[in-house]
Amino acid sequence: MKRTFSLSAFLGLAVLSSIAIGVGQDAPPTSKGSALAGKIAGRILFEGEKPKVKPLTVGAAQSVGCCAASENVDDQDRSLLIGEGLGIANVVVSLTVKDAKVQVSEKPVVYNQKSCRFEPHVLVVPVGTTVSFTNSDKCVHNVHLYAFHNTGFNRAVPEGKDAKGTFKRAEAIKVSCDIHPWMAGYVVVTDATHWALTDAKGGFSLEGIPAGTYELKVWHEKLGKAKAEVTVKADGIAEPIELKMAPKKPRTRRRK
Amino acid sequence: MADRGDTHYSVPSLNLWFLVSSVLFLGTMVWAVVDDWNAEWKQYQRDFRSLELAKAQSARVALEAEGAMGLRDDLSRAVYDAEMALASQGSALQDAERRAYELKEERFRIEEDFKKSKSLLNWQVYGGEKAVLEGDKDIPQLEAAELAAYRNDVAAKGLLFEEATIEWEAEKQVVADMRSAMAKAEKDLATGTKALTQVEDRIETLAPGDVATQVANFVRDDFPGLEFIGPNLKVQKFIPAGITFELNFTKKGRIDMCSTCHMGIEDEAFVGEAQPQAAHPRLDLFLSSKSPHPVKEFGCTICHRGAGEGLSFQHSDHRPSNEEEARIWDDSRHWHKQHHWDYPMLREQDVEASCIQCHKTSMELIADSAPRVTEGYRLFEEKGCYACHKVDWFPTDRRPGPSLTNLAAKLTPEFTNAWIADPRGFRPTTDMPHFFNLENWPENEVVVTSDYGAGREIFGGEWNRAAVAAITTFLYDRHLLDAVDAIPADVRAAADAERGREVMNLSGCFACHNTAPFMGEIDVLPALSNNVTERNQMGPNLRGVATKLNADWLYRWILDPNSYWPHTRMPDLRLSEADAMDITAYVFEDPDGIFTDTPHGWDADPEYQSSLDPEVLREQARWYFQKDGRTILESRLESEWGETAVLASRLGERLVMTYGCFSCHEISGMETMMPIGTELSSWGSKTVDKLDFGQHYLKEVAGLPKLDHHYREGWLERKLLRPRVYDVDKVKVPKDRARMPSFGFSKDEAQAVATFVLGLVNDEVPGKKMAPNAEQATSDAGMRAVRQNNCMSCHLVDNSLVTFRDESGSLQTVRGMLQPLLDEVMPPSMNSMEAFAADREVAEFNADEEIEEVIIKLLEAEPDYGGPGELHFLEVDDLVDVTPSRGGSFVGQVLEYYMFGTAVAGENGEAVAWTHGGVDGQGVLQIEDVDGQVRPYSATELDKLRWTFAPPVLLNEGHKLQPDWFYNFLASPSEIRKQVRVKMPTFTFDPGEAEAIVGYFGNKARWEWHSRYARTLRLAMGRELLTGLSDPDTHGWDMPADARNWPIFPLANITEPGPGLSAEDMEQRMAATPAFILDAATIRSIEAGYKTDVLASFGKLKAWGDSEGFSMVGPLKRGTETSKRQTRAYLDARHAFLEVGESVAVEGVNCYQCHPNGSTYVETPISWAPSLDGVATRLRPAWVQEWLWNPPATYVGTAMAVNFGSDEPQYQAQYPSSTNAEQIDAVMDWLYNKDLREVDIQSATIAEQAGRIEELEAQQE
Repeated sequence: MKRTFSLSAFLGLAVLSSIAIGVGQDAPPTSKGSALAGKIAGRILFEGEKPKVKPLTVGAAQSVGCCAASENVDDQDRSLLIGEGLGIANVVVSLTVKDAKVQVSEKPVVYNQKSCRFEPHVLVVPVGTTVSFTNSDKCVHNVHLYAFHNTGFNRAVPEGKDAKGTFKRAEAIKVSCDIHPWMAGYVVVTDATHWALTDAKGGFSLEGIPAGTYELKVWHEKLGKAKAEVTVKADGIAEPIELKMAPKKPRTRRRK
Repeated sequence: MADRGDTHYSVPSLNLWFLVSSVLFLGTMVWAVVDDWNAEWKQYQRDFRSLELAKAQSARVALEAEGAMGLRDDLSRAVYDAEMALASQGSALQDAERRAYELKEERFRIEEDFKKSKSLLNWQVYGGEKAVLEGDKDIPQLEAAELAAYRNDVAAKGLLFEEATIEWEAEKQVVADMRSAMAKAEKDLATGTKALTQVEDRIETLAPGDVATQVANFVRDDFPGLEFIGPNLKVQKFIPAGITFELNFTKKGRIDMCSTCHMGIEDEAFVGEAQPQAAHPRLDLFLSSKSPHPVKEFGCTICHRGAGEGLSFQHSDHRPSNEEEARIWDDSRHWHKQHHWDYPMLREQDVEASCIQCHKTSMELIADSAPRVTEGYRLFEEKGCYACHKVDWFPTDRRPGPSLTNLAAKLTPEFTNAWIADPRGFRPTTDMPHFFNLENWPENEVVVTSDYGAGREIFGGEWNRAAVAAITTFLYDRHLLDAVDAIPADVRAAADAERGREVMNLSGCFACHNTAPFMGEIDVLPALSNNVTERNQMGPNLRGVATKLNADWLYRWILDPNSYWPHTRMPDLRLSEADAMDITAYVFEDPDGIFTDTPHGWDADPEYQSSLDPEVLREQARWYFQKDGRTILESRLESEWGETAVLASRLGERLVMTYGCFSCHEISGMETMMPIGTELSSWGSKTVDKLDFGQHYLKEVAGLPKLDHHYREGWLERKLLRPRVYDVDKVKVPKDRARMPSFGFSKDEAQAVATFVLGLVNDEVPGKKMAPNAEQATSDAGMRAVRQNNCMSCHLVDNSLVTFRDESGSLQTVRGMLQPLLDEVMPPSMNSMEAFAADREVAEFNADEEIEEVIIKLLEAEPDYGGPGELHFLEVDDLVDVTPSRGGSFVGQVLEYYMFGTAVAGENGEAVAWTHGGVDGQGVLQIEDVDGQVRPYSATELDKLRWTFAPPVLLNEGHKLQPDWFYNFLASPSEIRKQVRVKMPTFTFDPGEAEAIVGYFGNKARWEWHSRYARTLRLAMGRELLTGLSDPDTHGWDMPADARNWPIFPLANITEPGPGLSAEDMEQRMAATPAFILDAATIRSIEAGYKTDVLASFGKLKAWGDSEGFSMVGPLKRGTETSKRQTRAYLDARHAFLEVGESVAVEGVNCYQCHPNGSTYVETPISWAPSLDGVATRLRPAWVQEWLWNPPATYVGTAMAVNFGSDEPQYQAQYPSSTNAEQIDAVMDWLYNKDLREVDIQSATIAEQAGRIEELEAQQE
């Protein structure tokens, strides 16, 4: 009896996951668990007063060709987006389920440059993914990767073209364009099996997680890293997580 | 025979004596034979032979383990099979051979016939000619027809001969064909078993199998009295031609028999064996015929000294390196000192001294291989030894100390007085030595009783204090300038000390200076400038300077050092008045407590004039002016020197001359005086009997060993550490006491200087006296100039190295750097493994995680691991060693300032990181840019900060820069990267220095090209080129099929990084073409840049690379190259492309988004790139071409993007249907002519003329 149950659960999941892959063409492939899909939901909140974020400095000479003549370049600084109730957007939340398999997209995942901005601001991909950095603008961009654990590159990408990179090690890679210095984004290569990116209100949810206790890892480009312990009960439910992140103090020199 | 009584001797007793003497004689003979048979060296040779045998046997075992026996069996069977196959054809082979033989004989017969008829014809022709010439009627004249018959005969026979030859050759070929399988099998056997055969032959020679040879060998080697007949054990000797030594006033050729005992000395197989069988260290440098010092040309004793003809341990005058070893030798070999040999062997640690005798003019070139003597040489220069002690060839002649001409404008007399008395009391790291209060003037001992024995007793302390005060009085009596011009009031009013801290940290001051706390003290606020690096000790430590200087002087000095001290090494940083003022304000306001800090106990004696005791001064005058005569002197003391100040000044002048202050410092009126020290040009040839060992050489003094009066090293060492020690307990009048000052050398430093001085000998090495060739001389001078001007504090010239254990457990070293650990942003220290371990601990603590793996970023092509910019992952325990980059330590300091600021006091006095600009809202430090704007800089973009704001690297710089431009830039630097706040200073070069620097970088690049080529080639050959170019989804952009033809192989940025071909695979691939056979070891050796192999085998490698379609620009030519792009003929043909190039560059690539267009810069300095103006005169076209193809392959981490070089060429709108190469070509046309577009005609003509001159020169050569 028990055996039959788990088998059917497995089959159900397999169907679900195949649908998820089918749908997840635009979104990065989300990860799948094994038996007993649980769910973790929560929010990441900013601790302290909401800082005032200045708009980006967009040079007039540099922004030629970025947008149609009538439009201006969007100068919103997305490096720290704090929404309703101090929720932080673009935080990567991830955890690793032992023995869970991650489906890596066979086709390159697109990371676009549009109107002199990276789209999306943060892209999360599993280890082994090939990312195609495309240029949908009418001007030349150069894709400059600041990678430490992967071989980075710095390539000019004229309009309509792309440059590809395959990332085999987990790390958060800053991507920028030197021609348009306000452009910055992140490709987060993760070796976790489950991950999510917070929405504008700082909310996230991770699904398909079997019962157990996990270490939830949190990363934000400005606020750094955080960790939390989370338990998914046998009924597949976990306490909602609420995690606060504060601005980093200025670093002091570490060497004597 | 009975005694007949008629002789004066008694026959019986004579017989007795005869018997006794015969027995003695026989005994002596036996003794001689036995002694000879039992000679020390013979025993060593026997030992050596058994060792050699053991090695050969173990080599055979190893070969057997590798399956050599099986291989031999297989190959032998193949031979046998071939033989059988041949035999199976029955008598066919014999028949063919017989036929061939017959044909050969037949051919020989025909040939003889042919020759005979040729001689007949010749004879007839000769006769005819002779007859015509001499009218000799006896010789019959032949008719034309008869002659023609002879000719026809020759022709016919010749034809026969040809036919016979062809027939014979054909038959030979038949035989060869039949035997070919056999021949091949035999050859395979020979080559396949070569190693085995050699080892077996060796074993057979050393331990013959047959009894007869064994007996013969026993007689030859071991049979007393007979072994001399045909000995295997022989005295070995080297007689290097022309190398002599001085023996009793004559020059005697050296005969070195050292290898009689040291038999394995040249043999690599004996590395690490015990003495005397051990091989010499560094066989690549010494002894071997491939090395620069082959033993056949140099022998042994020219370097080691000692008695080369000695055939025993004792007689060859071995030297123990320390007392411990001496004791061991005494116990084991009855070793004792040689008394009667003037050239004792050099101790092991001093052997490098001998390098000097040939390398006088190339000391910089041997620095890496001879660290100890180099250390001594550099200390000799740094401490200014050469200023007092002449060394005839010493290449430096700047006065090491600052000019004292205008002393009063800089320092107070109180400071000067205290400084002279105790320089290290103020600055423990100063190079200024102590002259006073040393041990030959003890504080409380009576020096003299004044007034010719009638007055009071004067003590050492008083004497010294008065002398110092007298010198101070004299120095302030003779100066030209009281004060420098005051700081203008408006400049002073705008002073900003906080900004001064940033200016000082970012302008480059701390590239040469540091502010490290005094020894043993710790700063509460560890300023960035407190870090001591290898190179920021060039200038003085600046701690405490505010207590000695005045603000006006410092301000003027910063603005123009040369106006105060024309020969100072301090360069002009071309700072603005505001910058100089802010630095001055920072120093004198001293918010960080650095510049007003003085060591504990230091006191700039305000009462120094009270030391001018007239009685002591008069007494000193009596000694130092003794020669003037008592009567005159006394009357002078009464009258014109009666005033104490005058007397002090006159005495001070005499003391300055006595102690030779003017040797190091410029003092008005003493500019041309000769230095006072003993000349040291041939001190190393001085014999011990000329040295005064003092009264206490048998005692141990303050941790120094007992002196040994047989040897000079100890004397030197003690002299350097305690320069006045030999005066102790001697009766010496004040004038005669030793004057050598104390430099505060550490023991290691003293030993290094001693090694250097020991090498200053007058032995000549005729013929081999290594006059360096022109290239070496330039490089040497250039390296010296680079060192003396401290260029390498800011500029990196060689990449850092990482050594690790690979999978097989062997050590590998690559040019690379470690990536930041865990969550850190700065990479860990590469200075030493200790520093790395400390950083690792910090990283683990910060991230709360254990480090398991380190990542190496490769900085150049490393064929076994990957290309530049690629990563190699390593378990942390496999990391063995790190070697910092050569030069560039200041870069780290600049980056650290950009990321962490420097520590200053927070509100509660605790240390916080800060900069002049503070922090932005999100905790990122803000720095003032050159445009005056304050901007935040993020640590994530470390690479970009490095390439934008730090001094440039000079990797392969000779390949990059045009020498003329380089020279002019050094002479008068111009701005290339405006955003860099570190200033390239204007140096005051000595004549020839700037040329030498340019030459050195050229030579370096030219030489290193070979290694670069070899490494890149092997990497390129191992990489798969892509073919499916039309399908964008199957691959990234990288590695187009024509990639190998690019000027530099596109190493970085490939989607599948990794190693190239292994050297062994490359050997195999090369072996496919017989002309290109190179073994793996040689390939590696070329990659390592080993000169001998580069010279011998690089051509082959290059030819193979060419044949494989691999291309890399170079090698660099000597001298100035003219770019063909600027010639008129070229421009005529390509004029249209200038515009296309401009369009690709400006509209396509968008160069002006980062590079300034004229004087127009884009918004943010972090995006600024060097100006493109003047590329035509600044950069070599070959370098630019490489650079444009693939910038990160040249400089890993550069902010310059890869703009060309994709499989699908871009910028088609600007240059329709063009390839990458065509685009680069057009852009270069534009770059090299953009400044000349309007006036290019004239310039082209000049360039053309230069080209013609070069052609003519080339023809003449």
